[in-house]
Amino acid sequence: MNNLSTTNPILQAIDIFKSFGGVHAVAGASIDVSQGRITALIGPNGAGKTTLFNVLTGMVVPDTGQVLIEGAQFQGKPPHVIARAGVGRTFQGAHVVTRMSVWDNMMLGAGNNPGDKLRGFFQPRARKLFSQNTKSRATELLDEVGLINLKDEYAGNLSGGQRKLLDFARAMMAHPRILLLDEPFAGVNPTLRLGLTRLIEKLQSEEAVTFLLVEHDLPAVMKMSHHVYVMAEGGVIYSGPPSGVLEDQHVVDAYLGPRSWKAS
Amino acid sequence: MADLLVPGFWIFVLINAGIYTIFALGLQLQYGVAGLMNFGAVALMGLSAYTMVISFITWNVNFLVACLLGLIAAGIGGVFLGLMARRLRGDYFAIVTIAFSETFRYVARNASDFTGGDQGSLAIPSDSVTSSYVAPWNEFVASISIHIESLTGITLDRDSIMLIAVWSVAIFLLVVIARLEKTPWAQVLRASREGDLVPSSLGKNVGLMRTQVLVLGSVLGGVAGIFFALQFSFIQPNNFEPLATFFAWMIILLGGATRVVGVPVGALIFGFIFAGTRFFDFPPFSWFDSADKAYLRLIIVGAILIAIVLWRPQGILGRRKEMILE
Amino acid sequence: MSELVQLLINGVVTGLVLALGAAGISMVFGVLRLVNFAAGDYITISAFVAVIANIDFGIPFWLVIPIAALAGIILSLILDLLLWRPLRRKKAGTLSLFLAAIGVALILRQGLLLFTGSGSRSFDVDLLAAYDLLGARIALVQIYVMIIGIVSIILLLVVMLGTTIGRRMRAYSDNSVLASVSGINLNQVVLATWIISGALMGVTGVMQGLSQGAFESNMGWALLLPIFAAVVLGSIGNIRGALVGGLVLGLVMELSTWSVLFGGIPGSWKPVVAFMSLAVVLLFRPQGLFGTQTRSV
Repeated sequence: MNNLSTTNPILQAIDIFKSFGGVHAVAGASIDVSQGRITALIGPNGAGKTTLFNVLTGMVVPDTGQVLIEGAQFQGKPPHVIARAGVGRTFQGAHVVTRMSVWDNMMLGAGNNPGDKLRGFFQPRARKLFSQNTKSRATELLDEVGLINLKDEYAGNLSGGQRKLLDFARAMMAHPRILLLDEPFAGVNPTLRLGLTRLIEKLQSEEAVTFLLVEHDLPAVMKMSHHVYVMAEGGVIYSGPPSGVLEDQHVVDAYLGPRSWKAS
Repeated sequence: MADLLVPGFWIFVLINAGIYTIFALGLQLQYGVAGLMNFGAVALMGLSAYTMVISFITWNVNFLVACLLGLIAAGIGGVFLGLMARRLRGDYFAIVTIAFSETFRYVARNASDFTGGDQGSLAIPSDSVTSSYVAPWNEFVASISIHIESLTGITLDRDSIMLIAVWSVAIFLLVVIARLEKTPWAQVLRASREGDLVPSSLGKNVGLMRTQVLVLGSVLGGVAGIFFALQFSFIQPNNFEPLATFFAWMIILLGGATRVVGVPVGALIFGFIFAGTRFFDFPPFSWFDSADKAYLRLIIVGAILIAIVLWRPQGILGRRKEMILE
Repeated sequence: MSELVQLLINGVVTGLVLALGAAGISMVFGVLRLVNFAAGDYITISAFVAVIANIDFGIPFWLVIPIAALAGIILSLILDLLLWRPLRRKKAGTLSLFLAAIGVALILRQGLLLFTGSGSRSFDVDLLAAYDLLGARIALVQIYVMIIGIVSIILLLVVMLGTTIGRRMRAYSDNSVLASVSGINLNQVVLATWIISGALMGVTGVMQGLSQGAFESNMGWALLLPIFAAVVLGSIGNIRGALVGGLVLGLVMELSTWSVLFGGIPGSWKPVVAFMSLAVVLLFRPQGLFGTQTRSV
């Protein structure tokens, strides 16, 4: 089984091992995310995909293994460093800052904001200039996801679906080169799912954003992905195009149980 | 009630309110913006005061440099709190800050060779018979007084000049901090109140920013500490007990913790209530003698804290929607 | 050697006081998620009620122990009714509860000072009597503290481990959602918690009052931080842990003055030992010695 994708990998996890209290969550998993493509990471519960995702985003330090972003080592680095390297992410629970407005949530997402740093206090002109640019980006993104009319609403008042869109738009604020989506379709109605799919495809083709999705929802993911990894029991058992997933015996076994259980 | 009109007394009250304004401003920054429950803030005030006093008296450091050393000591204390904040939040952070505060007080009481112990700054080892640190300040005050008198004919006493000094600095700091609280830096800290996940995922180094807030807040406490030391010409460990921190909390809550402008309002209200009760000759206050009135005052403080928590968490000036006291 | 024995005796005495205080505070936190900052004053007030009964009303010493327990219980129940219950209804958060507890602590302590004045009190027992034990001296009051402490711990364990209500309290403390779904009556559990912890505060007050010889209105407050240290050390919410934590901390505090250890820390620094222990435990092992789940700090 060839684990490596054909085109140049912009994000790589190499031989990741992570155990919690003696339980191996991830045991020797490697994945490559090709630049400008949509890659999916799927697998049954307990397969280790969430842990691997957390390793990629910096939330978890792997026991061994490497995380490479454009060839540079990032394993063990904290989440904010990974974010600054151009890797954005969304959250399964669509975390928004509830006591801030939608607009303020978006502004929070602006990358390399001179105002973020304490010394930015002494740079009012730089802050002002940056803020003007950021405003147009925020307006554009909110428009794109259809939340522009709610921009002054407290994020806590948004519905679940709206929060997902805000999460997404906010993650896009900093022009990330790579966007990691954590179960973007979880609990999402068909209309919204369609909207999100279109958005992802649009961003991938128009802004050359590379996507890695961790998902349970197979059909949604199959249609839009260029490459799929299937994980089970901490390792990668399939790496290849979506069309081959359901025909792969390892995958079937992983989801449905070993062959011997079925009546022959 | 005639005593009510003695101006000297009210100048004294206003000076205290000014010192508390600066002290509580530091707390407002830490809690109102970053959501940090620092209940040991008074220790930074004390650290700054003692460092200034000891530098001047024992090591004969130049007075202004001694003040600077005091502020630096407070800043270092803030760095230490920042380290603790990385690991702890909420109740645990609050308890550790109280432990930190009481540790400072115990050290001040017991390391008598340095700090003069329970006898306070008078017993700090120095070349002269009794130790004092206010001479440079008094000279400064005297020379200003002379200048003002020659220019305007008005005689200002020590307290009046202290009043102007404290409130000038307070107002300056209020303006600066108010501006700081409008920056994106402050917004990130506000967002971090709901958790680190989101700001970190957006590239913000939340741990560093929390430390920055704690250092700034501590330095503000340090400024208050130095004014305190100058105002009273004498410091001792029990000046820096947790009650002072609780007063500062009450001040920021009274004024509405999310807004800088609430701090001086809260400090003035607090100052007047506290001092004013001395003069109430009518029942029920008249039933108590002055020693007992001291206890009564603190009972009122406790009752106000509970009342705010139960009935008006947004304070006097805060808005319900922005309420962050949960 | 005799110094070591003396310190061990002192350590057990301090440890028993901290153990019982910690058990009470830990239990309240486990069930109510409340860090009761006013508990120090529950301790003090119960001790004062006991000493007033003892000295001013002539009630024999051993009878005032249950009186102290009763005072602690009544105080706990009144405050729950007046303050903690309304705050629970409002779903008050961490800071609100903390501030309210501080407010209560202020009111209780100043109220006590208002009613009884600021002098120090002592129980009507022989404070000077002492006996030789393995080269050290054990004071009569220390023996009393040990008796009271051990009996109280046994009673506490019997209640917590052997009775239905004890089991329900522990279940609630471990997993409140699961417990309420399985039909455990919250009100009953809360009531039991305040009664038991109130009694513990009362007994702690008497023990500390004995141990100190003479005590004042800040007695409980001075104990509070070491008690918190014991609670955290024993894993917050875990009552057996609190007992162990208290004993361990008491011994650590007293043994820290042992001259063999680089001359020993001067006695007046013992509270600092407790504070430092608290900080160290929280920073390096916030789940305490017995905790498995890392508390969401």
